Amino acid sequence: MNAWFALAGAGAFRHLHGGAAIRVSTGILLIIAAAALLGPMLSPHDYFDTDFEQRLKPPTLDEGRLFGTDDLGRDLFVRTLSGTRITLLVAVVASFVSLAIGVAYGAIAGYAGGKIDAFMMRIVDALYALPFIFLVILLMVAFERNVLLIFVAIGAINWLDMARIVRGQTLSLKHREFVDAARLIGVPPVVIVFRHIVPNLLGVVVVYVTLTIPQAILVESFLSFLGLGVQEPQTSLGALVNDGVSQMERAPWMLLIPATLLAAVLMSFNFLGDGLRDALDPRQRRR
Amino acid sequence: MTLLEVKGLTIAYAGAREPAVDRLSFAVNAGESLGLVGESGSGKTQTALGILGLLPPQAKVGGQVLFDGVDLLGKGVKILNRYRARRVAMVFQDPQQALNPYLTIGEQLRRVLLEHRIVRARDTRQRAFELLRRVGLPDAERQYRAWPHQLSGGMRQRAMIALALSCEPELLIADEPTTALDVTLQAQVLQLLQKLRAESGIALMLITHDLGVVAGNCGRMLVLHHGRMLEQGLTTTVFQSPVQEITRAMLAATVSVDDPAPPAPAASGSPPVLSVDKLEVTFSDTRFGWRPQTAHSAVRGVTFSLGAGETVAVVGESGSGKTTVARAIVGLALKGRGTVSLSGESLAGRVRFRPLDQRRDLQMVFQDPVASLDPAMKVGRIIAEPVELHEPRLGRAEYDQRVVAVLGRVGLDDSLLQRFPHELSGGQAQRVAIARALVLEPKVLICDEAVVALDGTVRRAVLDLLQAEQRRSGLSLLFITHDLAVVRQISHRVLVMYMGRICEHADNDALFRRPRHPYTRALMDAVPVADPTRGPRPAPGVGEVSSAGIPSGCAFHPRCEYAQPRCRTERPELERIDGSDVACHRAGEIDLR
Repeated sequence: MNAWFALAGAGAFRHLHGGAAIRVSTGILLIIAAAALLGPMLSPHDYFDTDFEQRLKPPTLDEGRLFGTDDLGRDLFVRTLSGTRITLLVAVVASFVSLAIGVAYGAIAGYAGGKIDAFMMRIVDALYALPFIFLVILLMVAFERNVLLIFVAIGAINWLDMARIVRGQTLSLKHREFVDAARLIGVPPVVIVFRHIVPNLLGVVVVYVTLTIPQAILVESFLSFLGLGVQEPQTSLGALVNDGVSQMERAPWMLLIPATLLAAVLMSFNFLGDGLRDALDPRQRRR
Repeated sequence: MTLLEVKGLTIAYAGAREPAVDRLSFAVNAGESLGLVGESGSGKTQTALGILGLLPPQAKVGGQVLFDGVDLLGKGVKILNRYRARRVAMVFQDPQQALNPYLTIGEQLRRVLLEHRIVRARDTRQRAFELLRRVGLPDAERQYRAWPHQLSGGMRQRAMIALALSCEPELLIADEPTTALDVTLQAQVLQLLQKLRAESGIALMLITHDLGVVAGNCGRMLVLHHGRMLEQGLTTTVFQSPVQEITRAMLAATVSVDDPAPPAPAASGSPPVLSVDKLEVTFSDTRFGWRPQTAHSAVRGVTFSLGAGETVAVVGESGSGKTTVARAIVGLALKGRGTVSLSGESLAGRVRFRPLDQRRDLQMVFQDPVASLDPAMKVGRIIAEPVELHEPRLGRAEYDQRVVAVLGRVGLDDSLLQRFPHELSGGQAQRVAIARALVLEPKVLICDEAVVALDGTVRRAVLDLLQAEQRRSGLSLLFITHDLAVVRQISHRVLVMYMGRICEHADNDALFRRPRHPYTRALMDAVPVADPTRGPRPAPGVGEVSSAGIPSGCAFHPRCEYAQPRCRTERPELERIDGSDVACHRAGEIDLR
């Protein structure tokens, strides 16, 4: 699904210059993030307040119910924005967890080479072989569901890809002459990895992170959609879409609003990733 | 008859301060050979690409390119394709990149022949064979089926030339056709181009930075500088009486084999700083883990020593093992057997097992100046890093002072400290790399092809800088290069390597006055001389290094015109003849002067 979004982005926005894609998507993401942070404070309602008099109200300006209410009479404006907040938080934290583990693991494996590399990468292969979604579902069922567990679960999926990408880049960097020069000077291996190799991978890594964030969002939405993600009364965009689907015929806004927001966030991250990839691609740079 | 006329050609890129090519006008006559000379960034390749309409779309092009009276500039692909390959063909610098790796040589030739309908489909094979034979690939049927990676560099460039000739063009544009090749191959490829010109009357536009190449091969020449034409004229005239100051400087900077050797250092009688004894390095292909490994030896028993304040040059073609010797000495290549000792202390095989003070005394400067600097670090940090590591107790001010001092020694300004490597020119980057090595005050500096990537004037300046540093601190230099002119200018003693062994070891003067090994002679003959009056010389050394492994007996015998049956079976050892060590059975009898 993530690939589909990326593909759609590639086709529709090919004419956009790399810089424009970055600016527009960053702008949209900043607006959404600001709304998610500040929006709930501006509303008179709370995300868990139920009001049975006000069930399934369509969007209206009265009483600040901009997005209407759900089947329990909860204010959807506040719920949607606080759901966005959770979704973004999960995505960003999970991606950075995967970034930290994946970069360190991949760079060390790639630089060490030989048996250490083979051993470390076989562990990655073994973990790849596990059906992760299934594992996460088991975890969720076995332990109490909480946001922390989602961070861990999603981060654990994503770092594998990151480790592989970083290892590949490290392999090509470690034979470059500046690394040889550092070895001759006497820079210890660990310092070479973190001082000379990792900073030179950051371009690739940044691009990859912006492309994993939507993936993390999708996993979280998927889990929430299955009812295994965020626990009520807390919510996320995925959980809201799930609620919306069950009320689709009576209250279409319950589906449309969170779904639109989710799509906007996903596409913005994908465009941002594509734009950054173009901007950081050395072949695109002017001579 | 004027074949190609370029009028006021201007090529500009948005964001660049000045155009890459600025109002350039010149003409190429049918059948003539024109040399386009300039240092890197002078716009010579841009001009060639502009003529063929191969510039990237963001380039803004103005002026006229008249081929046989028709302006090709701004024409669509359809019209251009009537000219490309059929009337103007191009040979690129790096045949490795210009040939399609997924198609055999034959298939690439066949496609060009069919595309331009040169011959009928059933005759393409025959025609391709003819072309391959014409460019000196005698085993045409085998080369026809070969993939580009199966050919050696020289053969690849020949195949590239065959492709360019496939449609019998009237003009051949060769963009640095020999820069990626060894000197001996360079001489052969240049000779081939001359032969083709003589045979079929093709006009040749030879783009190069090497004045020696122009002197031997072009009737007329054109000097470019920053996209503008400095001067043009007959090659002999330009060489004898250059009008422009810059041309004069370029001519003065050509290092010639005829230059005097540097004075030998005073014999101190002290033991050598670096000594290498029976060094052997074997590479094995471990990529597939447990599979049987194929080993090949890159260095097979090399012994030499380097005294204080002395410069020893190691020369040889690519694949001779000279770079591997350098890497084994510093501990970057896995050493097989033999010992390397520094000031009498034997060194560990791998750099990571060597103590810091040993690493400090043995530093290296690499071939590609930009690749040897960390792209994510500023110049100041790059030079400070070794000092911080080796003298962790000094303060910030002391580090800064050392960095500024060494920067001055290599002839750079403090203003560069805040720059990133990609913001430096090639010459500046190489000076920074030298500064990083010198800041530790090493005893031995190993330069691995340290000046090949640099233009003439910059190359000369960097060599001068190294010599000045040697006089100042008594630094010992081990200079790895394939360029004999550089060897002549900088070294006291010379090691000539062929296929992992030393074949001649002599003093600079002795080697150049009287080479003893036929291979040394071949290398010397291949060096292009920046003197047009000498005319082209016959290319030396028939054949080239085969990939089939090391020949038995004397490894050089398949290429050697003096080879005897004995050379095929018995390997010659180094023997001392009149102060030179030579590994040749016939060194005593043949005269190679």
